[in-house]
Amino acid sequence: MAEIRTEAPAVDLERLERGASLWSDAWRRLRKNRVAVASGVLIVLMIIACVVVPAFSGYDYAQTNLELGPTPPSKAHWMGTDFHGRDLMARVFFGGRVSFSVGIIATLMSFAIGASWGGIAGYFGGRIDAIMMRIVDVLYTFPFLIFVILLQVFFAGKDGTLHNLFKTILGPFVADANDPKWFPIFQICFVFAALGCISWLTMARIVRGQVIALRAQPFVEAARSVGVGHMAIVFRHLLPNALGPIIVYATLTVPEVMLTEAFLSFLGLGTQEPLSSWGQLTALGAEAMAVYPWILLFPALMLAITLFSLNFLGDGLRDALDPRIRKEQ
Amino acid sequence: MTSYIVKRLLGLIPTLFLVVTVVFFLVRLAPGGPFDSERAVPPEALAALNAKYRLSDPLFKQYKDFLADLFLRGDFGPCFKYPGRTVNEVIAESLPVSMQLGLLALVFALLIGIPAGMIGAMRQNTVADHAAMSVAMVGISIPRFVLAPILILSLGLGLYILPVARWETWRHMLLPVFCGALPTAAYVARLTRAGMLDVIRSDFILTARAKGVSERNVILKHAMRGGLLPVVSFLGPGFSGLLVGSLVIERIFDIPGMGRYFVEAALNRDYNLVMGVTLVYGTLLMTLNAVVDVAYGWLDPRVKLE
Amino acid sequence: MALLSVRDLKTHFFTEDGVVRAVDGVSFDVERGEVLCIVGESGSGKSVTGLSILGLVPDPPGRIVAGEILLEREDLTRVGEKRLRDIRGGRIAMIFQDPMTSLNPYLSVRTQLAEVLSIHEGVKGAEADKRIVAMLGDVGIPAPESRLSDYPHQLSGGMRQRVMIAMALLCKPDVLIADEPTTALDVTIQAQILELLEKEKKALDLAIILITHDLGVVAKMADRVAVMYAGRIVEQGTAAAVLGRPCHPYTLALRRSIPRLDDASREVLPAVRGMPPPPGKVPAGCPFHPRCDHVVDRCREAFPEERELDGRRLSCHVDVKAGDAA
Repeated sequence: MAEIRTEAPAVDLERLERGASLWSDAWRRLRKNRVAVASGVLIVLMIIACVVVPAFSGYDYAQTNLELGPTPPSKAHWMGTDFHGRDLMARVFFGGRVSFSVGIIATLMSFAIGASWGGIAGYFGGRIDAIMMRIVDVLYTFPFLIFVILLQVFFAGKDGTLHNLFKTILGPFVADANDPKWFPIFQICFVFAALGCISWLTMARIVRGQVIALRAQPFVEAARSVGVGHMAIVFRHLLPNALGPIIVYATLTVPEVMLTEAFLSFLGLGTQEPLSSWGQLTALGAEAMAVYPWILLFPALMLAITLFSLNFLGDGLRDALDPRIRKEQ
Repeated sequence: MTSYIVKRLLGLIPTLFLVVTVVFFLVRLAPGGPFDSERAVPPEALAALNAKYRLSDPLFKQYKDFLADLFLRGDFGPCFKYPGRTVNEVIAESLPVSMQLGLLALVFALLIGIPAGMIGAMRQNTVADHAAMSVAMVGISIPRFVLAPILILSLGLGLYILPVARWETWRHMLLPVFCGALPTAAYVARLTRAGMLDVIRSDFILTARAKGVSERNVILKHAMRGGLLPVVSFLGPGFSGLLVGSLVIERIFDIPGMGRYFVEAALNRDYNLVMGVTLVYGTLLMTLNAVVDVAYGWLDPRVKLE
Repeated sequence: MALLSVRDLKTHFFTEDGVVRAVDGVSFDVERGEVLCIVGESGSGKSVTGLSILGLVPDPPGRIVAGEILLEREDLTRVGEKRLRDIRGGRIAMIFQDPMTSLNPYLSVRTQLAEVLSIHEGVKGAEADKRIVAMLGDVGIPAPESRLSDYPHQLSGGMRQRVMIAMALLCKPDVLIADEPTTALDVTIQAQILELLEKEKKALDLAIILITHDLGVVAKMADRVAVMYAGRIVEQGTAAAVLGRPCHPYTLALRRSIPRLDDASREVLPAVRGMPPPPGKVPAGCPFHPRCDHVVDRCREAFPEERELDGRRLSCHVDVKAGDAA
């Protein structure tokens, strides 16, 4: 019987272009969004400033000058000084390091937990999925924050249960884990972990949704038929393709985490001196707002600007990665 | 539908039980008791106090006693830090205040947020849209404890328009409710806008227009139902956020609500009060969650409630 | 005079990337009781043509920039929004491709159908229910009373499309625009729906504008055919003329590319070479010229004016007859 060969069919040119370059397409759209681009640039500048300024400002963020006390912005101290005479600018930009660290690391943790959880639930489906997502549902409306508060108050004190745990883990790696200088490190690690544990739920849901959609795709069956194992499929094939919404959500999680940390600081929890985050600085400044407004103003401003920018950037990313073309043709 | 509601409510009980147990042991396993940090209390007095409040009993006995008190008599026990007052009393006093604050804030948030989001969606990319969304952005980027002092200074002390503390007349409520509501309203606005934009693009909206439905009814009768679903889903975590936010608001505005007591109780190691407040929060939120799920199921006929 | 008359319709989209001339000078007439099939590939502008008639083109970014749409004596391009709303669903109705997404998932069948009656005839309540049940039965839905409180997701694809048709015909319109009504359905259901449309056409003396890319549908349903390419109609006439004796190279190529069971001699399935131009990047002159086997110099310069040839209207510089093809 004669072989039937076809010439190249009339392919939808647009679909071809779209499929081959999802990322460059999204990148192009993002670039057109001026607000998002400006926000991105602002954040990069902010991070650079936080890294550079404390190192070059000539002041140590922790160095007090009690005779000086709080002074308004001047040539010597561009942002003034705080209650203890410390240069506020150095404090603020160092605080930026802390805030960004908290934001990024906690988000990474929530991503690690959430993506694994959601990925596994979505991939295996059935009973496993039902149980895993039920747990997520139950945890969803209960304010984790309450537990975090309790946890921090009761167990994260000096030489408390968690601190001891930390010391044990740290022990083999350092000279003296009992040295008090490790305590602030412990505290901030606690904050990382606690905040990471609060935010993973939605990430799990998003990843699960993505995985379920992708799981039905032919390339998954192809991989299975060649013998690729379950875990490898989840982590090497499915998750990279689900990256879009994950990136968007992660970008939007960072400001949420920072805000939550600020909230904890206000209650006297969260990061502690000398590793004060913007939240902590703002909370401290709020106390004497009427009298020394700059102590509140500068860190609050930095925090607000960063949160704004991150949110706008996240929005821009979401619009750029949205596969539905908004402009009908 | 009714059987679903009943099942959900019954399902709350084991979860709450779990919460109670976890918090109970969490709290008691912590180093330091409620009376340890008192100014140099002599050991005999300390022992007497501990005995009076049965704190030196073995942990499981304390647990059983606590459960017995709670379920047989609905009694959370005495407050350790406020001698002479029981937890039940404290909760009875402070819960209504917090509920008022919370509900008012929620209603306010919806009343501001939904229309703002609708305007953003209907007038996409116009000045109105950008303005509404920028304000929303401010709402979610400024912590309540920054917003509150700013409002207090400007509207309260600075201009003497509104009272800044306590919770007596409706005027007292304005600032705290607004403070609580704004961030939540911002989320609601963003969700509404996104949800409506999504729905407006749907094919069935085109069908509705092709039937000759007026633009107003296209929005009200056809689009809103689907467009507002994300907001309905958000109500659970939204109210939860409000509750957490109330910790800040009640502190700053000196409002005698449950949130204020919670933080103090945690810092003071007042076990019973912590238990009581946590349990009340938990019940509230889980009930609300169940209600939200039912509402969602009622609004979206494709969702099967089982 | 014709019931519906479209004259030199131009609908353009003004996007960030430039102007897309989705419909660029389209003219045709439709009479009562006849089916006009507008056939073309994706991007040819056929759907936009349908939407333009009812003023449903999303604005922004789209707009009717020129032409007339005459419903008897009324020019729909000049009529106010309120009058357009009366016409939509009242005198001209439209059904769409995917019944799953085209019906509102949150409203019951009754609510959605009753709405049409309420808007156009002011009929409500029990009276409306009676009409709805009658119509549902008419379109072939068994036990229609029990369907009233159902939601779209509870119905099968074929039933949903029947509901759509019932909804469109409830107020007895004069014209029905059907945009790919069977594309999303199983083949077996397709035939049933097409038969239903044929039946309703006779019952209501409907004019039907059937938009499709499927030549099989055209062959089955069309009284007259208009072939669209890149926003223009290149050939239109009776089905017998256009399908039976195509004159335009594009129509010829389309017809040739349908595989035939009885043609064992061919080895290569002759697809139309090249690709249709992306909307917005339409070649100058006759838009088909880069893919045409019979192209001459004039084709690159100017779009051919419409002329009469062998019982149809044709836009081509060359005289090609069926049978000339290799």
